Amino acid sequence: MLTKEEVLKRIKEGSGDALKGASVFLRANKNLVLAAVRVNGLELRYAKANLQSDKQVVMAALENDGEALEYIADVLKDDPEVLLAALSSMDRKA
Amino acid sequence: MSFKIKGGIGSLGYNREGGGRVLYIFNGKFDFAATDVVVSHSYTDKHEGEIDFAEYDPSKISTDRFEIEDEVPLSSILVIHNVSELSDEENKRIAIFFTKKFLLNLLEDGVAVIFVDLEEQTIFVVGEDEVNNGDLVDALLKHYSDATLFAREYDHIYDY
Repeated sequence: MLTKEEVLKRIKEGSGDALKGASVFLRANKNLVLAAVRVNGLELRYAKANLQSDKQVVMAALENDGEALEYIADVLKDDPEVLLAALSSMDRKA
Repeated sequence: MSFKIKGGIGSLGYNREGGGRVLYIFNGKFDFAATDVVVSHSYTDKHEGEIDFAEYDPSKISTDRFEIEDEVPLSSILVIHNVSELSDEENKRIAIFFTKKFLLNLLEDGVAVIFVDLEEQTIFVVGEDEVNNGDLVDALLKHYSDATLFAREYDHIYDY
């Protein structure tokens, strides 16, 4: 299991999978998850469920990569701001 | 009229050997006749003519994203909203995105996905090509509100 320091190091190094292998405790740490999704939005997949429904985390992930939409919680799937952010991000990448 | 298999099915495998996880998608109500055609085709020994399969009841298919038990409406698993603040085009893009990801997640997890077209009375195994070419996704979205999922776990007849 990765320590918090190891996860932070991986985030700083730009690892795409910094949260992979981290404990549930770390994957529930909002600041850590925010830092990770700002580097790679798809890290949202490893976030604990409550953070997949946290709009601040989700918007940060979508800003980085619209494809992170796949990992948002069902409760946000009718939020126009979230959906439009995803589409906008996908368009920027296209 | 009976169901016709398009493109072949091949072996669906057995649960204890890592296969045998099958998700049927009906573009309407569940129809036992379609699953009967599939198991007769896939689990009948071509030389001996004997059928070798048992199905877990209930059957549950779990991936890292979804959990599907027996017969459920598609809309209970694949959540798609028509959001009034979005244009028709934007809503469609979102719906296509979620539907493709749903199907690809199942395929990546080794689940055999079988689409049953009740109107055409056809059955085919879904692969990445079918997901990406768009026709299947369009067909699913057309029947989103009444489509049905049916999860099955198959095993050897003496293993159940």
